Amino acid sequence: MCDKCSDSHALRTAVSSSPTLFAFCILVAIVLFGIPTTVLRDYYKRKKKSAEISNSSMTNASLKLRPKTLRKRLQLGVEFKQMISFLQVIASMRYTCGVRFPSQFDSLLAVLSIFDFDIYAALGIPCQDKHFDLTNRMVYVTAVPIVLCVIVAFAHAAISNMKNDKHSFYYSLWLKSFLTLASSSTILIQFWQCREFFVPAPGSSNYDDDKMMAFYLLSDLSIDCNSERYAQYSVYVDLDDFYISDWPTAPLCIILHLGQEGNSGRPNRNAAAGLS
Amino acid sequence: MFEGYSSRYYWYELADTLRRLSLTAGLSAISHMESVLSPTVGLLLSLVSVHVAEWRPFKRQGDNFVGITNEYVTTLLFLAAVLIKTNASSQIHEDDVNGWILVGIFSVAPIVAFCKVAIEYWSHSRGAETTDDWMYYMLMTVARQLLGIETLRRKIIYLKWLQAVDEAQRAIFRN
Repeated sequence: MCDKCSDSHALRTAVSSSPTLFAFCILVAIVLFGIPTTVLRDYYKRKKKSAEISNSSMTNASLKLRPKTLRKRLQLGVEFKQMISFLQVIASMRYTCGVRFPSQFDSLLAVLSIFDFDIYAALGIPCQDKHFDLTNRMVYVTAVPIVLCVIVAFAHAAISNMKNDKHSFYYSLWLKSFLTLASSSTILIQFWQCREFFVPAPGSSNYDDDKMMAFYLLSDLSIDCNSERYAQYSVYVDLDDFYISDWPTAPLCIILHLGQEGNSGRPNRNAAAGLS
Repeated sequence: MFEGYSSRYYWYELADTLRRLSLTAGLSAISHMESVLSPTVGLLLSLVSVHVAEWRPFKRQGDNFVGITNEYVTTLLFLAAVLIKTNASSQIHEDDVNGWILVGIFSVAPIVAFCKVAIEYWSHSRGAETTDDWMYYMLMTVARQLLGIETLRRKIIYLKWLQAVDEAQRAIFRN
């Protein structure tokens, strides 16, 4: 419980114990979110300026050139993707490696768990609720993909109204999966990992004489794998995540997108050989 | 989705997804409290990722540089996890220095990404057109500096040579 509380109070611990570390995390957040915002602001400023110029006096040829150069300024998607994927791997190291890192780095990893959509643990919700365990965390973490699905669906509807882009739907699905696949997969696998323990039989006083085998969740030993509650959550996992959310959509949308856009991305051998 | 990759590596997105899944969900599947298996497998997988990143699948060289840096940082952190798990240092939990070293290793990746974006944006704002023009600008700046120093060095050598000639002429006239 102490571990759970210390983990969940990561933000508060980071602020109180090490302000420098917290400042560093703020800097990382500024780098990750500030730069795209600045560039976007710059983009819209320049777009507005170009619109003003086009209203006054500008030839058609120069107007065609203008958006191309502006688009080049916005090629930050690759960096953003690289950093998100890096931070997701690093943030999950606390659970995947089963290692207790030194306190400074552990606090940093706890703050970075936001990138794994483990926002509730980072904000200290588990300590306020004494009954908060891995099953609750799993529900919260896996609920994010569903919420994102809804947002992505609305976004796709908005985009398809603006322009007729048939790939935007696959792209939206891929984006949702990219952000949530690692975190939801990790917690689902943690949910299936039960381990056997020998515990004293109910009513017996001597452990050596009368003991029985029990199964507990490896990531949270307070959860009995034979309990009714665990069985109910198993049904939730089956229905909600394996069949509705990430697992089917992620590989499917990548393969579909590969099939549709991979051909256009590949080098045209005929053209390269001069056989147009 | 495939915009950043060169045409030869259009499939790299799928490979990267598999890499992320194996380093997160895959490792948690083999994770045990006492075993050193998961950090060791993580270390091996990240070494493979370093090798794959060295293929340079991105179009822009700056992206490849950031990708390789991220993989090296991940490898070092998994190595640290293995060392902690095997109790390579008895004071590793107590020693604040180790924690700060790990934070320092981690911070290399965002700093490199930030510098890359800043340099790229700076060069774009000065009229760079192609995606790798920022590297050209950097190289040209460095070359200009070096050429400037080289010119200065030549001037100094020339002046010294002139002085030497002057002294030699004076010596001849004295004699």
